[in-house]
Amino acid sequence: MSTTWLISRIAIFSFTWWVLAKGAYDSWQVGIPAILAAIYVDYRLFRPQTDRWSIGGFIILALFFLKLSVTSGIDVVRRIYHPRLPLNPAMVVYSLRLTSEAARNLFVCTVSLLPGTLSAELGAHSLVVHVLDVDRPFRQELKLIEDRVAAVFGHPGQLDDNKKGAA
Amino acid sequence: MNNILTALLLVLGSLFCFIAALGMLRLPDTVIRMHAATKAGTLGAGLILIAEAFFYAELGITLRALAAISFLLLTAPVAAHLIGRAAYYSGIRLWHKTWIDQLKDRYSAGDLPEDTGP
Repeated sequence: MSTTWLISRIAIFSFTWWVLAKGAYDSWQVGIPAILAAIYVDYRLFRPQTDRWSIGGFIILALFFLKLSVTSGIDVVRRIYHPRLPLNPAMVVYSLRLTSEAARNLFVCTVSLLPGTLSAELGAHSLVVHVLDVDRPFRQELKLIEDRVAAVFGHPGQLDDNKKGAA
Repeated sequence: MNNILTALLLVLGSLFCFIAALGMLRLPDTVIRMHAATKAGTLGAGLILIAEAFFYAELGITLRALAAISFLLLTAPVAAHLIGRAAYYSGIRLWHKTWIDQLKDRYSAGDLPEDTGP
């Protein structure tokens, strides 16, 4: 456990608590144990990894994620509300190019919020994806997200280009 | 002006939540319903939270609304993925128009087949 890791966690969780508790002083007697518990859980679940995060890449992904969640919400609402229920669902296998576990997990979560896709199962080299409309260019979209996720983790080793991404 | 914006956001947010609920009834299988619950539901709740932030126009409340939105955005896809996974593992019936289920028989084999494309 490195010092920077610990300091960054203390900063993030303290800030979150401060926001949630409206900055009330007497809330810290509950807040400090909660922060310590959060740091412990974080350490146990996500052992400080060697993966380096790129802040810029993360902000780009976060903004992209926000945009996606809006467009996908509108898309799904349109389909539900449409009298003919325009669905053309499929369960497909997508070959992953991301190699690290953290990057894959981030990808799985992003995919679930993409318009018309929901990740069902993460395999060793592939992801089972449920798509609402097979006619959408979802493979290109998945590939784009994979690139963005790889950019968060910064180093080119995250993407194995020898593997086929989009068919 | 602020009130009009708040009202608009609230109505829009409620509409999204309503349609998400409608989707629960209209959509044909669990996995497809998850699309409605996570995407439309998250957007609806997010809009309502933004409306709240606009209405009070206070730093503390805005920050908390933003925190709540980020928690929603972080947790909804994870929950959707896990429910989708559980549904798939437990072998729920997919809608009869679902295009392909190439994994059905091979699922217990452990590793997944390579990409064959639709």
